[in-house]
Amino acid sequence: MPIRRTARQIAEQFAIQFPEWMQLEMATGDTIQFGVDRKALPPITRYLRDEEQARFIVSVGTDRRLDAGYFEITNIFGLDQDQVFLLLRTEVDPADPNIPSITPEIHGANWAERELQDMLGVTAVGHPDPRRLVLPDDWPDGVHPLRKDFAYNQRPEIVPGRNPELKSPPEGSTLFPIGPFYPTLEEPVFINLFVHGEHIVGMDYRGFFAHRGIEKLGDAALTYQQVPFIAERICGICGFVHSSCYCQAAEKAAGIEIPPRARYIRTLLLELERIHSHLLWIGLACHFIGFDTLFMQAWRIREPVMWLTEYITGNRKTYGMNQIGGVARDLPEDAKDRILPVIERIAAEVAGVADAIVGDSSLALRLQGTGILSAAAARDLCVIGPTARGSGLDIDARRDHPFAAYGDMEFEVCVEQGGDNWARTMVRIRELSEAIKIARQVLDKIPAGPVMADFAEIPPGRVGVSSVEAPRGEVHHYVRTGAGQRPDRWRVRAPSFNNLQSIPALLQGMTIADAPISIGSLDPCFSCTERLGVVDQTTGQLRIYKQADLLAEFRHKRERRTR
Amino acid sequence: MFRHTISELKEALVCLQAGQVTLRYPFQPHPAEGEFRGLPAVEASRCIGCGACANACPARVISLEDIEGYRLVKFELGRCTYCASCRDACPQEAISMSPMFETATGAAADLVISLRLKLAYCRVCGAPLGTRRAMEWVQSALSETGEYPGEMIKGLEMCLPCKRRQALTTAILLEEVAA
Amino acid sequence: MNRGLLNWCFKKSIWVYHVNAGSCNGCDIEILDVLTPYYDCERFGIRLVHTPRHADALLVAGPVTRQVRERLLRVYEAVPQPKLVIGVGSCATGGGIWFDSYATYGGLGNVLPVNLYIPGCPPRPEAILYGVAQALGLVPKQVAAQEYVET
Repeated sequence: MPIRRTARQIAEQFAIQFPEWMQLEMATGDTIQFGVDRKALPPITRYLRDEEQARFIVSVGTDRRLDAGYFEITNIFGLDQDQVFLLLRTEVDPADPNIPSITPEIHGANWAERELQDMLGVTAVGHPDPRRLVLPDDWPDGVHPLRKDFAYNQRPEIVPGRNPELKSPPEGSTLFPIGPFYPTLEEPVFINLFVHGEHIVGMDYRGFFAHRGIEKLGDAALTYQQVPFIAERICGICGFVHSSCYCQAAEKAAGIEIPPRARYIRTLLLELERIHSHLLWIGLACHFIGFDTLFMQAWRIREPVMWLTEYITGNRKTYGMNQIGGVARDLPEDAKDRILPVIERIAAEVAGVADAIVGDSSLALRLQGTGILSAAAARDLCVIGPTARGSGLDIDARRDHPFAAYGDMEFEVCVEQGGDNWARTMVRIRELSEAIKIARQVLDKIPAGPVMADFAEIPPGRVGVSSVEAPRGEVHHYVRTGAGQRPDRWRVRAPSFNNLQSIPALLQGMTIADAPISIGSLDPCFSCTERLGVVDQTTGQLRIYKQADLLAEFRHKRERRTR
Repeated sequence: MFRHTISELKEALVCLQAGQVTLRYPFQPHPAEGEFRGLPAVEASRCIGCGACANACPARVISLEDIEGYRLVKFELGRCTYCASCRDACPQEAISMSPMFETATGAAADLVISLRLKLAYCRVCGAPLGTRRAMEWVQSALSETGEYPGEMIKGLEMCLPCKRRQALTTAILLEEVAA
Repeated sequence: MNRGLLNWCFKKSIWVYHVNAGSCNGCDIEILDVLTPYYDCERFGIRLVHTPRHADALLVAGPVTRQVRERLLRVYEAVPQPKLVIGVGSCATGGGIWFDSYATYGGLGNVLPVNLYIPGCPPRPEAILYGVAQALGLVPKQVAAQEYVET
């Protein structure tokens, strides 16, 4: 068991390793920040990857031309063994807005650097795939929303006739497009699969159809205490995760200590959210493979949690509970009496369902051996959450970077080794039981007291980062405090941002019929295929697969296997 | 194969044990319990047009505009996010979150609440000062303390430039008297 | 075939195509929830279809982001007449909390002709059921603009 180093010790080690290139700027609690020369980014990244097994979390681009005269790029890494966040802060001259790309060293940085290019206009030189990622296709070039001279409500003219830049299919394969709208729910996303016959040999992707300009609104239009409300609407399923993460980051930046009761309430609501989200996913995953019975039953089991949160917080989702300094309202008096029967019933019903499906060979056929993500690929792509834990990576922000009341809780981090869809399913089912265990502990141990801290004005120029383990993986927020009681910069990194980058690895060698459930097993905030167009390579004919066709394909596959 | 059949039977049992759970909504009401945040309701007689709610609202749904002798306080509830920041900010407790959720409509204009509150004007030059209600509320709060002479409380009904002018005139007069 | 018979048929069993126009998924999950056992919209013959060509009504959630707008218009054109457009949630009704952001069109009404809005953030499944019933003329509208003038 490696010994945990303190922030100071780690800082000293780096200072010895890279004396000319790294300037220590902050080493407090769980956050270390170094000022780094931009040309040093690739060698430092290599060192972090190889010697420290650091995990790339996200990049933050801030326009600091007004107060400091430069663009600021902060690359955030997680040193999970030491429970520390490492921030590498680079100053970029606005006259020469570029940095050397670190994506060739650590592939998980791919999208983060593309986002820097779109939103701030800082080029990552040497990036293997520098296409537009976030901004709409009809957005003019050279207009970067996160620059301070761009007003948040400015709407530049549409550039007509522009389509997404997509890769060409490799030699000899056919391509077919999927999306952006699918009947199976969730967000629009556009996926191009490249196939040989039925086997997938590659893919391309165009997402960010739900880009709403949240970070810009956060630093241009809203005050500190208004941001939690926009944060919880980033995602309608795990909204509380985002508002908690923002509040924690801002509280760290401002040095605010929240009361213990508030920490417990946040933990309770986070676990209730995890319970309903995992049940939702189980239902949807079964819906993708045509097993509607289990879809209906899973959502039936889940519904009482929604009524519970409506009773406790005033709304089924978007609870409106988080504010910087704690929670806005206390739990009702009879919260414990209402919550315990519901979660006990869920525990019993989930156990019954799990027992029923364990021998179901149709499910096994669909989920075992499909959508395999190796541990090495998972580490290189810096995936998190059940996606990572299903491939054997033992990471969980609740244990690695304890927040709220998780430091007082006993729970198991559920890891599976298979790396396939079945492994990820088992991780989520086991996490459901752990979530119920944690909720019981919270209700037992929750202390009395106030739920909101008193605090004075928040000073400007402070940085805070925080991670929260959402049902989909680690959510990470970065807050830089600003003047006028408003944030200067707020960066949100949702787990799907990292996990979706693993789709090509997941689909390699799979058949078309396995594509929907493999993508769905990441529990992304987008769903997957329902209606596909396939061009047969040999006859050149277009065949449209409807859901009924895909299910028929699957039944034929099952019959061939069991005969 | 046998194992699979057992599994299917167990799945069927799960469904049978669950039984029929469908709520009889909309044939029977199914209101929300507890502190549910439905459509905001405004008690117009309590509103003083101070704008605290407009400052607090994250969706910027509430606006204030002074026109034609009235302060128009407008709540465009179509895009309300039901966060209750307005209710928490209001000093007069004029806003509450009603339990109403059956709010469908063909026109977003049906979800607009408009309040027109009379403006108060400077006694001397006639410039607008804010709402009359806000003025009266402040004046009654101050006179209840008993620490301020009636003259001074009445003197609030002046705009800042006129107040300064009056104070200067009073000061000059007092000096002359003293001299 | 007279208008009256068509209208009667339309009320009996409406098929719905759901579109996410950049929403956070809150409304989308509640729409899906209406299919599940506690609410069961299939009692009323309402079902979710998998292509706009089979749909009678579009259920759109989201403020209509810039990236999604053109595809949304294509989906709208693919729905055959007679059709209903129902905007679900505060984002569709007025653009929600990001109505004035550079990346959105500020609400469904700015992009498509809308027959009905179902506000909420997200609206309860009961509210969605009520809204669809209202669109079919089965239940009355309960909201109206409120004006107060101090005398």
